[in-house]
Amino acid sequence: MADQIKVVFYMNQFFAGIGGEEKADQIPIELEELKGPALALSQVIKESNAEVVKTVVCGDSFFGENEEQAKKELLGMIKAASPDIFLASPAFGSGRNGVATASICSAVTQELGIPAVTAMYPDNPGSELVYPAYALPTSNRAEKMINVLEDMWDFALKVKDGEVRGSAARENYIPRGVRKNEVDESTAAERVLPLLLSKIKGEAYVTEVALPKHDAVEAPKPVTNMKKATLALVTEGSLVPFGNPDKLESWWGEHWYKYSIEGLDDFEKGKYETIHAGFENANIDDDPDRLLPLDVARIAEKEGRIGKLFDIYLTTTGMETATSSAKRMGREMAEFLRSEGVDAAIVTGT
Amino acid sequence: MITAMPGIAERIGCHRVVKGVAINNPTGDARLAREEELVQRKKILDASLELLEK
Repeated sequence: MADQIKVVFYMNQFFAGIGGEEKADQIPIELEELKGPALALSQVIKESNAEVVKTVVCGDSFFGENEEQAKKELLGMIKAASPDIFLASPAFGSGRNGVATASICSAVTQELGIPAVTAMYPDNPGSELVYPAYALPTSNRAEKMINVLEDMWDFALKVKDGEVRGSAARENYIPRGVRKNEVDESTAAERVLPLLLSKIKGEAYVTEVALPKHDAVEAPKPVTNMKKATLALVTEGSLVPFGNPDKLESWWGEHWYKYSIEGLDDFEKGKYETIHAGFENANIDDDPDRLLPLDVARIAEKEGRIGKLFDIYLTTTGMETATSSAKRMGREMAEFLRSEGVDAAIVTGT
Repeated sequence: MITAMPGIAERIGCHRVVKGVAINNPTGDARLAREEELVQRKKILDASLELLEK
């Protein structure tokens, strides 16, 4: 009988049932029992003579703020279990979770030589961090977990057996920026003509050479003299007047808003709040300057270290916000600030 | 940009990045006394102003 396949599974504090945002600072631990997606996975892999021998957990914020320490501790736990396969819970559209699952999968494969697979929405920032491990595409919302776990398991078995040889499109995983040559029976000329004819006719076609989408933005020139500059405050942390009068989205940001800070020396507790759905809001609601440093910026203005603090702050929500929406809003904000004579901006991200 | 995850900001192309305190309070720390927190926030702002001139 073939040896049993040992699996180690990773998940964040939420899927482990430890808590939500208030427990996002959970340090890396091993769970004593199977829970949540780990329990579901154990049922999926039973038929393959496989077992989840260990579940490791880390809080999304802890991982994001202490990546090297978190990876070191988790790799130690994972290595001790000597797994044949490592799986990390699907992150779907959650950016912090995606960064964590992709990073730990990448480290497990790179440093321990163990096949590792996770899954997430293709636009998840973690999708660019997973190589040489793999991430399967999912929807943006956390749904159909069992189906995703089944797909991950089937794929992981193929990785373990060296059977993932085709392109990302053919094997259905998120592209990792790797390009390999393949031999085809047809010549390039024979292949390109049908593509060209399809393109001319406006029909769908699949290019053989997908050019990388460079998104590099040239660094703006430095401010020559901050003591004469107008500085604006901007945030993606969803800081709004209490009650959220314009109904800014808490996630999937599509809009940005402007609010006056004329004459204000700080963001007063109770008059402002954050409605961001991606982190625990209590600390910022207690003192909104912990999100956007109006108090110290105003002091800097009074002390002459900046020329002027712009009278309006800009706010939006950077939680599962589509890249295209973020680009559009960024351009609109920049155009507005430039038209108002603003020289520089401080942007706070959560 | 001020963020507690500077690695991500730099990977996606941000040029001037200052490390924030934590994801849920990038320019503050509820564990500190008020005056200490202000000093910390001022340092973060000063680091940001310095970067804007580079």
